[in-house]
Amino acid sequence: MGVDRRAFLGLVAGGAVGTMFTPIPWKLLDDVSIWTQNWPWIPKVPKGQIDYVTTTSKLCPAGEGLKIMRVAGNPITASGNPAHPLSSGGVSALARSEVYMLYSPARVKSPMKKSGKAFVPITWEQALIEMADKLGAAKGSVACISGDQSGTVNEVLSAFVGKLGTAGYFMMPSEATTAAKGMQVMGGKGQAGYDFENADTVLVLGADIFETWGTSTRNRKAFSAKRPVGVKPASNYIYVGPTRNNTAAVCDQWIPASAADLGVVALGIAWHLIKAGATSAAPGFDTLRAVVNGGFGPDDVKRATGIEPAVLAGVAKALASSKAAMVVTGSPFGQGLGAGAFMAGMALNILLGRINKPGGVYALPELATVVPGAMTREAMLKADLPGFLKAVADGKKPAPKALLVYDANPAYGLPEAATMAKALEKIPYKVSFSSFMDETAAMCDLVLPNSLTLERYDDVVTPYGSGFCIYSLVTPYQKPVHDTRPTGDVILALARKLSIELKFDNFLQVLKEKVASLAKTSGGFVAKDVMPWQVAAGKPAPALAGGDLWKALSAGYAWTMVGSVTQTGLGFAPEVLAKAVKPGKTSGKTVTLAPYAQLRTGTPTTGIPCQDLTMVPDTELLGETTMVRMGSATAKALGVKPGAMVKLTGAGTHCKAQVHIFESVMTGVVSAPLGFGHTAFDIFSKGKGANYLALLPVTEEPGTGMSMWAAAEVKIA
Amino acid sequence: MSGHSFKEFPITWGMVIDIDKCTGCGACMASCQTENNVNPQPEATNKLRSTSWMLVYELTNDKAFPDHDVAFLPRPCQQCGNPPCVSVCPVVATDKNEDGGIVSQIYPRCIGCRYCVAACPYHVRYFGWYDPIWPEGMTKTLSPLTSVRPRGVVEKCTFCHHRWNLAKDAARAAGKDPEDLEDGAYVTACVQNCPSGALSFGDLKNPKHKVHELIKSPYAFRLLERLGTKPQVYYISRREWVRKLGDNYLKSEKTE
Amino acid sequence: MSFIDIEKNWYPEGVTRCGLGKFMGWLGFLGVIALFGLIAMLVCFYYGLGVTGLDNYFGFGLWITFDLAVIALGAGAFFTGLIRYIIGVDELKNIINLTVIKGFICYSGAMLILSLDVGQPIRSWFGYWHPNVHSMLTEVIFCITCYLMVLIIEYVPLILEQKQLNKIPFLHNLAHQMHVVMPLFAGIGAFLSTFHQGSLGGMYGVMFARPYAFREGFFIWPWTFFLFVLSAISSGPCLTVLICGFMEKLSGRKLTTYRIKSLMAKIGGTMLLIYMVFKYLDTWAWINGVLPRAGLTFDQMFYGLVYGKWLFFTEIVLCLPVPVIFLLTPLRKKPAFMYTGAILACLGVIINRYVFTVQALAQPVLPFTKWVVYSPNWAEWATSGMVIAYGFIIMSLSYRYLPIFPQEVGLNKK
Repeated sequence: MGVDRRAFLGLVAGGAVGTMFTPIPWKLLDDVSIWTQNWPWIPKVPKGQIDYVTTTSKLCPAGEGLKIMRVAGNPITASGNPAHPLSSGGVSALARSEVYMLYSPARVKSPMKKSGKAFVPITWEQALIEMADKLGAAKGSVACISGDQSGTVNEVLSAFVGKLGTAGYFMMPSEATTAAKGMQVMGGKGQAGYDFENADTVLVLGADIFETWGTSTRNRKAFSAKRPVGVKPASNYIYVGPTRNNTAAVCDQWIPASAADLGVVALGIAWHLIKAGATSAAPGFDTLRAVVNGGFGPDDVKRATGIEPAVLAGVAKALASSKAAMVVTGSPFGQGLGAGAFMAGMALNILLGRINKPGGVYALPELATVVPGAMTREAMLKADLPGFLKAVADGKKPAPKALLVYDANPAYGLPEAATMAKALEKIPYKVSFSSFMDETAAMCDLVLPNSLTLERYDDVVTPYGSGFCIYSLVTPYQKPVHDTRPTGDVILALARKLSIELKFDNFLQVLKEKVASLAKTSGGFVAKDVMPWQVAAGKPAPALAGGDLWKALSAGYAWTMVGSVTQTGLGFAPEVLAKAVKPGKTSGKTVTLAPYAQLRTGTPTTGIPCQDLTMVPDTELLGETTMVRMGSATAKALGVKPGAMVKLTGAGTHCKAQVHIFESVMTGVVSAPLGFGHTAFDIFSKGKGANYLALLPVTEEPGTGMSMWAAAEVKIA
Repeated sequence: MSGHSFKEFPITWGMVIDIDKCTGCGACMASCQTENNVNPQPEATNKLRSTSWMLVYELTNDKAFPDHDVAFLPRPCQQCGNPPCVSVCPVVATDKNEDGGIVSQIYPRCIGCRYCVAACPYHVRYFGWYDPIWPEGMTKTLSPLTSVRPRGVVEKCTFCHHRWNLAKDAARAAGKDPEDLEDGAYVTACVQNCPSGALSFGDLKNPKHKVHELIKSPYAFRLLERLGTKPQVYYISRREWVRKLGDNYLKSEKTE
Repeated sequence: MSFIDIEKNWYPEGVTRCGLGKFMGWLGFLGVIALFGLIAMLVCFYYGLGVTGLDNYFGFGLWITFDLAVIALGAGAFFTGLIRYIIGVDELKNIINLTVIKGFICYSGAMLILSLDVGQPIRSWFGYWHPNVHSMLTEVIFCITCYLMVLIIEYVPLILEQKQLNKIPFLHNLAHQMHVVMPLFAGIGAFLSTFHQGSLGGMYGVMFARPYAFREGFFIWPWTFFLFVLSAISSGPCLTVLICGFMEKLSGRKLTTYRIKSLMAKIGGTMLLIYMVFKYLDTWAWINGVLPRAGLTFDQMFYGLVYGKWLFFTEIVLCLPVPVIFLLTPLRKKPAFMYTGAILACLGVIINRYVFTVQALAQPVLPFTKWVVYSPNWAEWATSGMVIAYGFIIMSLSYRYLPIFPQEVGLNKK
């Protein structure tokens, strides 16, 4: 018995032939397409139930409400929340990054302690013990820098630092700091809020309202609503600034003017308005008229800015004849503008009678603080961080013994970087609560990573630019990816260790108390069917259903309130205006540097979100080189060729750049992108281009004494 | 001879992009990347190698300061009515035969010959030059609705086709007709998230959908219309120079 | 008997060859080039095509240009076969073997490059499994693979005629039988090859959204279909002549009569003349029809140096009428003119394949895009070099051991 060779071969051959008549070989062949799709090293997509939850973006300064898609409970993507007044379904490239930035390679994965030049991981308990010890020793001289413009966590931090003995509580400079200073000098109260939704003629002085200024996503939604596709626009937007930036690209008119001249332009328009009969009962009107007539007539403005008298007359006419005109002033790159330009812009709003009117500027009240000993936002915005650090660097002020840095990156995000770094180095003990290993964190003795938006409870309270008071909640939807903790909780734990009484055990309690206090505020309502701008326009505000506020906020709705602080002394402050608003000057071989910022390159605290690098055009960043933009006339005057590598020198330092000819930059100006030149973070940020903010020297604004750096001369060679 | 002719579809999804409202922020690109599992690209400044199904172009009128003007043109796949890419594919890895008129791309079928890349004048087709890599842990944020492509195949915008399936499912669950979706029931990720409201989406043939009217605007145009590709993406601009940049014109034609 | 003596027994009857050491040195030199290319090839397979200089603008680059040029120049095989076996110009038997080997080298080399060039080589056979009958590339895949098989069938009897192998009765008979049916394969080969040369041209001509390449046509084929066939059959014989001349130079031996080479050159020249007429008509129609309809002008088709007009004029003027005159007039009798004419004819077709592949893709169709320059990188050059080295190796081995030149013995009698 057995199978002989012949039978075996026959069997094999017969089997082979027989198989050819079955679908097996053909099926196997066809399956190759599937095998070749699913290599083991190609990631598999997750499977599971899809659902949607809501929260609010903390990475994006525009404060959009977010709709998070989850699969099997894991966040997948972030979209705009259509029900949220600051989003209406829109989302910025930065807010879109909220989910994947949880896994950014730049994240600090656990508490880190500086050891020599490197960091070593330590436990939270060790970190708290060390910090309690060091801060206890530094009592009376602890400073804090916060980059969170809109969170209640500032109350916890400021109360904590206050009770330790403060050397100053500083906000990173922004449009809000400028506006707060301006309002204060003009004798006004409250936070300037802009009702874009109801405005029909908007004069934008410098502010990049559709990119980085204030509630930019909401601003664009409001702009879009008045301009249905394919129909004649129902609004008129005029942009004044050094470049036709992203905002100016969609405005109806662009008037080229240097950031240093924005106040001059505003007062030049005031001249036309006053000549046409505009008047005001606000204090200082007569002096203002004299100031305007004395130095801001059409010829003066033309001499200073090159703007034709007819152009400004046209703007004045458009504003005066409009039912709802509004003037918005800001820095083209979101910081460094002196209060003078802001005040000049506000002067126009007052002249036009647009304060606390629908489609105008509201003076928004601040929500009550809940943490005992906390500073108000108004008080926080008063401090001048660049001025302080400069004084520390120069030895004019003593360096604080300890510094806490929350959600801020002053080593990168401030002007005159060399000076700021020098000041920071003088501070002997520094702690950063950054989520990412940024430039400042890299300088600190201790890094205590903050949990990210989707990992923590937090809130967004009336971001600057919003036309109404707004409160929205940040809700965690997953356990922290790394060994991170919400800074609010860390500070409260630390306070207990130092026996400092802050009333709360954890940050969630603070938020609950904050929400409870909102429920008691009259006039507030949950924006659901009725939006705050509709209320501003006259629609009755719905009543707040008592008790359900936390639930409504958790469901992604925002608490809003339309209203304004009663003004007692808001006036023109013409004496200060006369000193602060002066024509800028350019001379010889220098040009004016006009930086611009975009949300796609993140903020100083986020670095460039890894997916957003793809959004950066190759006319901005190519390989490791950033490009600066200038018109062909400027390039010719400087003797530089398109594509040439140049060196920009200013504020005692220099940066490299490639020349990109772009004719929508006014002559005599070189426009440079911000958000590049990181020396920290990850492969998506580090070593990409140069940080042109470092080229801007900090100067003191005459009249207000405020630090400013909106436009500076640089040398190009 | 312009390829073989394609049939008409009763439902024809299309996009209308208002260039006069686009600020060029890139939120559409950001939305697309994560919606469709495109990996983050550290070398993304090389635009000839990076993948962006949705790409924002900067347009200028080529004049000197101060007459210079700028516009931004977001470019998804044009989903041509007569796609130059489909007839050339040797293996039917891309097709236009499903209702809705979306040009499909079947990744497991594609052999990576790149003939479609060569044939498309809009540069909407992207090749996987390397295997896609995500930073550690980030694969947890991959969308289950789009497959991850291995290297060596061509990929492109699909008008977020998976969202159409979701919308049809939702309609069925609500007892509505999945073949007659309401305006806005199905929109792509870029359209949904655009903060400027510059993008609209809908069935070009459905009078109940906004885009049906929008494409009749005297300011509407399509890219390279004279080549006969019949795109399903329309652009709108009140600026004549922008409209002129949508196609090539001889000098003698420019006086019209 | 030493190995060196044994090796001598493998030579064709009655010929002399260079020393084994020298030959091994030559093979070694070629082997190094091939090895470098092989490494590049493995790198490409391992890491993906990202290691090449190709990008999303230039999905087609050096490799496709190389393939198209090689395949066009390899056309000597089918066309000479056609004339020899079908039309019956018997004289060509003295060079037909060379054209067959050249064809085999060109096509197998092209297949090698193609397998590299597709992103998913494992799926290459999908062209058969899921064919799109509308795609010119499907036609190419079908014809090119079938024709390679035909070339193998044509090459095998040549190998079997090797002196030692031919002593085996079975192989001897097989070779004989294959020779008997060779006209049939020549016919099939001519058919297949015509169609794929044509469909390669058609691939470009059908790209109706690429005005640089797009052409109107006849029935389902754009004019480029016919132009590619004509340019291939005009340059193919020219390359055969050049290879033959080169081999004579290198070996220092006469391999065919000048008469045969001259005949091949004349055939090439004649086809070139026909091609020239159609190419001129086509260019005229392109400039006055295709381009204006796309809103483009002739000037807009050129840019800078690598896409300059000089390429156009070199191809259309220097590489068409000049070689036609050299190859079809009595000038052909002088080797300098004949070889120059052949070189120009080949150069013309290489430029033609380059501009259709690269320039067609570089030309910005969208008005707001710009010309982009493509430059192949080491991985592409190395692999292309590998195929050339591979060709030299095959040809060297064939020359050394196979009786491919019937006239060699007679011409070299002392």
